[in-house]
Amino acid sequence: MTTGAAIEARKLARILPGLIPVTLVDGIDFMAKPGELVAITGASGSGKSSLLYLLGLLDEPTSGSVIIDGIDSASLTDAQRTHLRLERLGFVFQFHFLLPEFSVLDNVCMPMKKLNALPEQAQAERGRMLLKDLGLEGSEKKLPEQLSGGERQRVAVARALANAPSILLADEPTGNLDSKNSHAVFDIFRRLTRQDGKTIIAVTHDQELASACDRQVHLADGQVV
Amino acid sequence: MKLLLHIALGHLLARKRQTLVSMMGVAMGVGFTIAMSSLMEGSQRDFISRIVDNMPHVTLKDEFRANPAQPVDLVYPKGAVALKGVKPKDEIRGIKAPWNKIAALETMPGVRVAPSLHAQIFLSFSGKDVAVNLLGIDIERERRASRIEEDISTAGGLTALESAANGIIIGKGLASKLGVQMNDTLTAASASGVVMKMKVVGLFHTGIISTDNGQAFALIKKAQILADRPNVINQMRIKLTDPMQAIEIAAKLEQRWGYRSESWQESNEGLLGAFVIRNTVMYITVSAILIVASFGIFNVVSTVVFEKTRDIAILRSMGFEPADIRGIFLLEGFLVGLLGALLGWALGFGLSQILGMVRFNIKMMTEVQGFILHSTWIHYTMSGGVAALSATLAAWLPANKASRLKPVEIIRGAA
Ligand SMILES: Nc1ncnc2c1ncn2[C@@H]1O[C@H](COP(=O)(O)OP(=O)(O)OP(=O)(O)O)[C@@H](O)[C@H]1O
Ligand SMILES: [Mg+2]
Repeated sequence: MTTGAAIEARKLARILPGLIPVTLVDGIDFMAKPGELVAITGASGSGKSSLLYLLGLLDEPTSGSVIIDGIDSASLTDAQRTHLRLERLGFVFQFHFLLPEFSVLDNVCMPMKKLNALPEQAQAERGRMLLKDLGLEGSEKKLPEQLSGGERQRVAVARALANAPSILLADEPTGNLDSKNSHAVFDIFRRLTRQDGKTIIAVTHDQELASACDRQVHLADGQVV
Repeated sequence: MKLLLHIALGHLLARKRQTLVSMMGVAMGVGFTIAMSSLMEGSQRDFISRIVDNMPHVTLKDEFRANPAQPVDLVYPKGAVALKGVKPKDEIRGIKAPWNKIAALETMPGVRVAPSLHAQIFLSFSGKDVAVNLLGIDIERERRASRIEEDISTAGGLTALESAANGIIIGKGLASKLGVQMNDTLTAASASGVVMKMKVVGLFHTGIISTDNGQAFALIKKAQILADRPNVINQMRIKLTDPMQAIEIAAKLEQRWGYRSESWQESNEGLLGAFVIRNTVMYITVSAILIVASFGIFNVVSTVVFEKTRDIAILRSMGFEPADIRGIFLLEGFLVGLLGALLGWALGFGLSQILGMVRFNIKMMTEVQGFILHSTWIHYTMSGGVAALSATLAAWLPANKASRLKPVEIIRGAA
């Protein structure tokens, strides 16, 4: 059906209904291949986040479709879409969204516990491994509030990777980080695409980080330019 | 489920004070329910056991529930004839062929019967007259079927009645009303005009004021003479080995002989009915406490939902379903309810112990010098169950609201 795209958007549009309808995304065609690191850039309000929510099946398009690993999401039920998110998609946001009551390891293991594909022991094992990969060894038992901003964001990345998703969607993951930490996060992205063949789509305002990606998609007024 | 529990516990443990306060609300509700209901149950059981112990289980009287049919009605049962001003033939009151009936009753297993003649008499002593209900009794049978002898403090018990020509045993209250003492002789007069000198050969104290102040016992023969009703027996008080069979046996006897036979339940209908009302009032009060406790839970779960919107959004984006989110918050309500109920059990148990130790000194009231408590596992399971259920219901609204949150809207707002 598709030419080996990990994720694809066809004529994707999202209009917020209301007295004055707001067009968030205006007929976007987009695709990303396995192992590709794509940067989405554009001015504030150009629809980058909106596009990412649609690609991540968090929001439903007004028209057009999102195809993930050859599956047209429009043909799925809510529950199936939720399950697809659990298995194949990972999210990282500008804000880390870690659960404050739970330890770093608990946070990372949360999606694994929900999916419950691995035995408990293996889940914790994998959680530790992910944290180690992201340079967070020794922080497993800490609470999120005991970490620095950059560390928290890396925990969020570890959590997004918990169920080994094929696609990672990141919305300004370095928006709250300094340049050193930002580069660290993008280095991790780089490695994940090269070594593990994951597809990563990252929204960023940072031109330097964007140009280090495989490809840039620039948005303006909800359209690709 | 384990995961949801893990998250729910995490939320509650992070808000220990708030959680504890709403748990205490539930605990108070449950604790007071248990204490109150065991108090109620205790006094009710005590009361019923007093009735069952002290009163006849079935009373057969020389009365009929319906007036006897008159000859004209018997001849023309459906006739359009009405006779007014009929003067029925005077019948000699009393149970017919009483000794045959007593013999028949005594062949029934688990049945003891005390025949008696009840007569209204006046006792006078040194110018004071008191109306008294005199029971003419048969000592042997009275012993077997009633407990009056236990309440006679004077020597010889009922047997003392045989020690004098006209012996009478009266209540202590009556004695002090009349100002008589043991071995005093007083004057008894009946409605039929017979007057008799009677000697006080015994005193009793049952603790039931109306009995202590208004009842007297004599041998049946003497009572029959005093009332001028030779050989008449007008009541049979029946004790059963199993008091719960009273209704059934009373119905059977009434059907067989036609005489009004009252079970103890029927005789105390008013009181037993009052218990129903009292219990209803109690349950309403207790539900009010639990409703208040539910508001506490509603409040804590709503607050958590409000504070946790971001977490809900991230869980949803991660792949948690709406049902999972609802489950988390319902569990939180349930946990608060459950732990509150457990705490309430301890509180209820403690309160019951304390109430059980309270002693008062009210002379006039009863023999009881403290609360009588009786709690059953039903009180515990019911109050605990209702608490856990209402806690879960209270959490339903906020939990449902949480499950319907749209993750995009929250993330958009938070980003
Ligand atoms: N709930 C909403 N109601 C009305 N307009 C909205 C709503 N959400 C977003 N918008 C508008 O939709 C447009 C696209 O928003 P979006 O968040 O996708 O932009 P963005 O490119 O991610 O911007 P930023 O770089 O600031 O994050 C913006 O103009 C925004 O104001
Ligand atoms: Mg944005």
